Amino acid sequence: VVKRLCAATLLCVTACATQQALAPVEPSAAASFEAGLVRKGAELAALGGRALRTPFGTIYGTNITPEAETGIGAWSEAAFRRALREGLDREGRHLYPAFPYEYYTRLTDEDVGALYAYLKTREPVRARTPPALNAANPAPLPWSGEQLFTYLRTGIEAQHAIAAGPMDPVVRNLARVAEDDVRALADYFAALLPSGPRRNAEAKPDSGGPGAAIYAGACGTCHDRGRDASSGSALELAAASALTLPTSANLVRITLEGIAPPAGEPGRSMPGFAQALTDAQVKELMHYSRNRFGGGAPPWSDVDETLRKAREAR
Amino acid sequence: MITLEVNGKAHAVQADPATPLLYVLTGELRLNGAKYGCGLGQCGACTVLVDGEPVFSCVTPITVLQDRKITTLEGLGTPQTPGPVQRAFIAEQAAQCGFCIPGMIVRAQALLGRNPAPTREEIRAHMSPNLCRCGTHMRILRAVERASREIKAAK
Repeated sequence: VVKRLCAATLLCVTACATQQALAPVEPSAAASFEAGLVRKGAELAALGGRALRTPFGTIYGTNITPEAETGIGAWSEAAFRRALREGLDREGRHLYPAFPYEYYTRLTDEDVGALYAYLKTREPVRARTPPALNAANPAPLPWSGEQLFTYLRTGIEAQHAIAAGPMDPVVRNLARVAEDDVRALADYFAALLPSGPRRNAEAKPDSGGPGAAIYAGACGTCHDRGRDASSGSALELAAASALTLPTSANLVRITLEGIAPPAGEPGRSMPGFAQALTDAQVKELMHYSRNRFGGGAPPWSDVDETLRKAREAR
Repeated sequence: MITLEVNGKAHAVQADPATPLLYVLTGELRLNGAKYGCGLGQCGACTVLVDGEPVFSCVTPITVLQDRKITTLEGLGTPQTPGPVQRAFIAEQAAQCGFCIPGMIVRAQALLGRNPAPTREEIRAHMSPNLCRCGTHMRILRAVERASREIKAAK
């Protein structure tokens, strides 16, 4: 129910902050809500809910689990009530038009309280969003408009990234539209992105150890310097965004599953290592790669958990 | 020194730990079933089984294989007494140039090991990492289906 609700409501379109922000609150203990209220909230939440298909594409909702940073963990009941009544998020930004708050304006205070109690007692889930296309972008090297164009049009740009997963169909589509339109998109994003390098995109010297031998035998054949991305070979990992992200999720996933285009379609390909590597070996490889190619980013603390989930999902 | 268990036999190997298994199989152990196709894990000609699961031996360093069971084409039968999957590939004459066939047989073996009666769709999906440039795909699919039937009949 929570997932359905998450996918359907509190659809957030960022607009200018024109209203007052409400103070954040500490995450509440589940026991601080009365059980009957939570149950009622669950029934109300079940009345909502489905993915919103619009002429502009399907809109997915934002995270309304009680996670502090990416969810509504810091929202007071007053902030939650205001979102439903006035269509504003906690910081005062408009959620309308995508969030249909006008449907909720007549909920009673009691029903709002029950929904709040229900949502605040769910398991907090940290939302994973794609890297921001603005100054917060984690790419080790700055993107130029020309590089963005190459990435969006062909799915690979030698100094940054390869398009895989949900980005794959996007690139497939952009390969078919007018070139000028893709250029316009690229120029728009380039203007939002930082222009100077913020990290060192050079690999550190090989530190040796078990991770080094795994890297050399399983990855280096394709990923080491001297390969040319346009020849169908791989990115240098020191330039790859996956190594600089705060979470290891992208690198774990791509290491296990590889990259494969849909059956019968052309596309980039990388072998997955889910069968070849044991969990201990994947972990060695993740920590080694982060240390050597992460541009000085701190070690990942989420590798064990991310790997466990990725294995379970297979 | 790394000890590799290949087809039930232990081998003490001197090669650098980062050396891909394929080079050790063909260079040191003289097991030439697994083939060098692309060297990049893109074609499947080098497929072997590790603990029953298919892996590309050209991008699998021997350092990750200590204490694990490796099975190559040679472990599935001999020219005198081929195994059921090998017999099915011969019966369907699935090889043209034959270079991809060791990898195909080994990958098919992995599927039949855990799913003795796969559907055609399951076979296609499972075999998709392995490429054949001659175009004997339809015979390869028939061979896997034949092997499945023979394994079932033998039980």
